[in-house]
Amino acid sequence: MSIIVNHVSYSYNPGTSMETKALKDINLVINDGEFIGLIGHTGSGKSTLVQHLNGLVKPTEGEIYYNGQDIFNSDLTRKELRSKVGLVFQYPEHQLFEADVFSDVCFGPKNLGLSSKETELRAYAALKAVGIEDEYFYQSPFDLSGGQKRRVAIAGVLAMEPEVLVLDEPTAGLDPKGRDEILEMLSDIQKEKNCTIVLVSHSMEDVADYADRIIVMNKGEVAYNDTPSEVFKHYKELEKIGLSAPEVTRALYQLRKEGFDVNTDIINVQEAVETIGKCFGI
Amino acid sequence: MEIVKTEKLTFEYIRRDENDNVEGITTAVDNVSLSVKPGEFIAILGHNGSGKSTLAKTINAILHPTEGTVWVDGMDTMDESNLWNIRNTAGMVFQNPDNQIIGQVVEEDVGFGPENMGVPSEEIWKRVEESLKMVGMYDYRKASPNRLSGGQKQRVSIAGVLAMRPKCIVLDEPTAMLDPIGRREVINAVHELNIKEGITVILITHYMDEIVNADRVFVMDSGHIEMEGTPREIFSRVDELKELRLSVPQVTEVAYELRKKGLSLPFGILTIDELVESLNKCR
Repeated sequence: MSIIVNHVSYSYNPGTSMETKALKDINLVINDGEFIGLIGHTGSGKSTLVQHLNGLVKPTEGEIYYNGQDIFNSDLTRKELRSKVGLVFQYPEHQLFEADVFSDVCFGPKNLGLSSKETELRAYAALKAVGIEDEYFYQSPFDLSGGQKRRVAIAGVLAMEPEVLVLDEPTAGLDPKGRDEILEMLSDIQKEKNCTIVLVSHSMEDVADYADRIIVMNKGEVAYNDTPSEVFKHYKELEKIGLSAPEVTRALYQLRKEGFDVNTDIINVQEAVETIGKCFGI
Repeated sequence: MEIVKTEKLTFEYIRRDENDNVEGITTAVDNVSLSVKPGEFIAILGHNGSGKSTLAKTINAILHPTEGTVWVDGMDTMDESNLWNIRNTAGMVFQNPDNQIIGQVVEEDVGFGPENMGVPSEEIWKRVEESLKMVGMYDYRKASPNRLSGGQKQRVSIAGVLAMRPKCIVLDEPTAMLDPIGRREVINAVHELNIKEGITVILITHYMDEIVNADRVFVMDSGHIEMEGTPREIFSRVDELKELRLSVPQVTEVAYELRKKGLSLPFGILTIDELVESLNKCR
């Protein structure tokens, strides 16, 4: 059970003078239950890549396999695929449209052809999972705050109970607390439902604490594909491609250079405090 | 004289149903008094919904105070006859660059503001050139805005405001939709304007790293100003900031925690270099 991206290339406007190669010979395996951070600066091809995962975009070359089936060339229907691989777009709150929160979340499962009882049960569970309380269910989604709207939009995809949840910059434009809440929520959902999560971001700090593996995209190619601390070892190269390792990690590398005996594999504040503290015997 | 001054400023959003009956009142800005001197670089911090954007819109006279007064360069924003002078004095840059660019060519877009002010065309071209140079976008003057990156577009938006020769620029989360490179481009451009041209800057953001070089910081929460001070003073209050749903740069937090454990580090460390230097002194 996994997604395999096999020699995938994609060009926008192929065969014209405007041709742009967005993806160049991408090979990836996404395993079941993984939490993947997909990182790259604007224009690196990360959004184009995730749109391939549920068949919104067809590769110019290469194939994508979902659980061993070629998604464009097998019995697997597009509808089935999209119920398995849920994609949450950038600024998903712009897609809210129903008169009340609950109906909006029901839209997805209803279209899967589920009974109204099953639809409602799923919508209820999804709204609970994203932390929206009952009192908001019959409010207009447009009266909610930015962070709440985004949760409702994510619930709309969750209600389809996808096996793989792909989110394109789910924290863009949120304040720091709102960002942490969304990331924490995704991590909980992943543990509870044991689903696979692919989180697209241009912030390393966002994904460092949660991702099992980080895939770094640059100019349509995979630049790094490893655990967070391995990827952050390349902090100098990351800077050249418009990204940066978390600030604490960079600080620890600099301290190491100054002769402090600190652990540079660390990616969060708490552990950094511990390893620096040890140098001073506290 | 202050370039921007508010006294007991309150702004209420009033929600009405179909029959125009009042359904509810939200006080977005609550009794705010502040003053900004010419040439200052001010940052306003606050989580989503803290009232910072509403405050910004009252400075530009897009919104008028429910109670209290706002003066821009001495002009009361409630006085209708001041409207255009106020908007020419305090220019505004919004979050989404795609919503504020209208021209088909970069230089046309930048010329739109002065053109509306009735500036003679020779003068317009001069201003367009100067403004684009100030934000480092002169090489793109013949380009189509929709082929630019987010950071570039946002710098064109700033040039468009600059061409109106404002004394003050209010930027409402100008980097929220940009990637790290774009963010740096925009923030650097804004600092240049402040230092070289002496333009007053009011920067609204929730990215902590962007305010490190500000002269003064206001932190807003539920319409009030909760904290005021230099970035160093503000960042030394880590726990309070967290309570206000804000965070501090990671190195600041590391230093703060180490200090709590007994290391004699100074308050409000803001950069990696400062942290390394102070730790070296502790050895």
